[in-house]
Amino acid sequence: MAENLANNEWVPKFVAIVCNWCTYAGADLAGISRIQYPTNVRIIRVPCTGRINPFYIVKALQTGADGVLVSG
Amino acid sequence: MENIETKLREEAKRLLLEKKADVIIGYEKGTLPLTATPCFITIPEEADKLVWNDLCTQNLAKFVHDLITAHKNSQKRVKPEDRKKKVIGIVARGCTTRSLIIHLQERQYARDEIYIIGVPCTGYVDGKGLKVAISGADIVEGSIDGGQIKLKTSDGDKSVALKDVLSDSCKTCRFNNPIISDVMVGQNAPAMNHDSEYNEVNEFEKKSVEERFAYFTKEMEKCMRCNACRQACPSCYCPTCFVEQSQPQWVGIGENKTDTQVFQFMRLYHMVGRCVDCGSCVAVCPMGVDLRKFLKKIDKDGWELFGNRAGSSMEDMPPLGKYDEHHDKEEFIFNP
Repeated sequence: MAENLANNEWVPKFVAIVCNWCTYAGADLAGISRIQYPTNVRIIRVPCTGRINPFYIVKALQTGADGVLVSG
Repeated sequence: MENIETKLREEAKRLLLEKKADVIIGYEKGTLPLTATPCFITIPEEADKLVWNDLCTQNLAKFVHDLITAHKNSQKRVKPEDRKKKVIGIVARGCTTRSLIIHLQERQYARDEIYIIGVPCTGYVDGKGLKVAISGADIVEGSIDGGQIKLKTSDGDKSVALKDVLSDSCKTCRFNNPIISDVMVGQNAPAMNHDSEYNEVNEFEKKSVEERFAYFTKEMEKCMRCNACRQACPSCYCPTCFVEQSQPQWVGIGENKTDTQVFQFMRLYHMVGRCVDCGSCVAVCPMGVDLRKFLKKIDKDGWELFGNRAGSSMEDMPPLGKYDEHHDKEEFIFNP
């Protein structure tokens, strides 16, 4: 669980498992356009969301993620 | 019951003599009082060992898969034209035939590789429940007679009504008679009380998320990762289970609380549309983990969302195993 140091508020930590060809491209575009996204999202790029094993999600939750976003 | 038993033995003997089956998987009297244990009969004379009563607990479909896999592996290095076919005979009640249907639908073996001797079932005794009913006394001797279990225990003689100690999955069983069989021994048994099938699940669903997770956590804390549930389950037949995989290692092998939860969680999810509620996993669990509540919930979802009950017929394919875009409940699938 991530702590927001500024006001000591609890902020959930997310894992985003994203597809290389759409969502990751979208995130990339956001980066190029200099749009910031929250720091409590950690992106994992996969070649395709079809590549995702249900274990990825369970494992992320087991090792401390508060939420998992699968997009693609 | 006696009648069924004699007919069963005759049938098994006939099959072995006529070479219609190479081995018969059935139950024999267990070494402990009031138990029955799986047995493998290969010579006709041994067929008299077979029993059929309210103590036959295990789902034998597991052994069918094991034997056929072992046989196929042994034939791998034999030239295709010299390969021997092996037919496995199996004594099957309702839930066993459901498991066999699942194996057949998942193309694990061909229909002619098994010979199903169907037996009517009126439920089996839950060993743990019986132990509770006699307040933990040791059973020295026991017999079942007309709906009553008569016991000689370390606390003196006791008598328990059979219907009180039946396994939970048997009390509300919907398919207690074989669904498919090559030969049927005895008449179909009367239906069990399947209207109250989802009562427990409905009650559980009403609880809040926190309460449900607390229950899951509490139950999983009992688990000591012996993998007996997996070994007993006829639907758990992966050559390498995710538990034993080491590259990557999905689940730690220690007694970590979260590892146990992940193991059980993933095993439960592998049962979606495949659990036949035979109760084998619950029966073999040495710690008495309440696996059935979660499995039954999955079963209920399968029925309500996809109209499928695992292994209920050969034509009804498992929801996760078929692609049928024209009959989906959601419009967007075929008409976006």
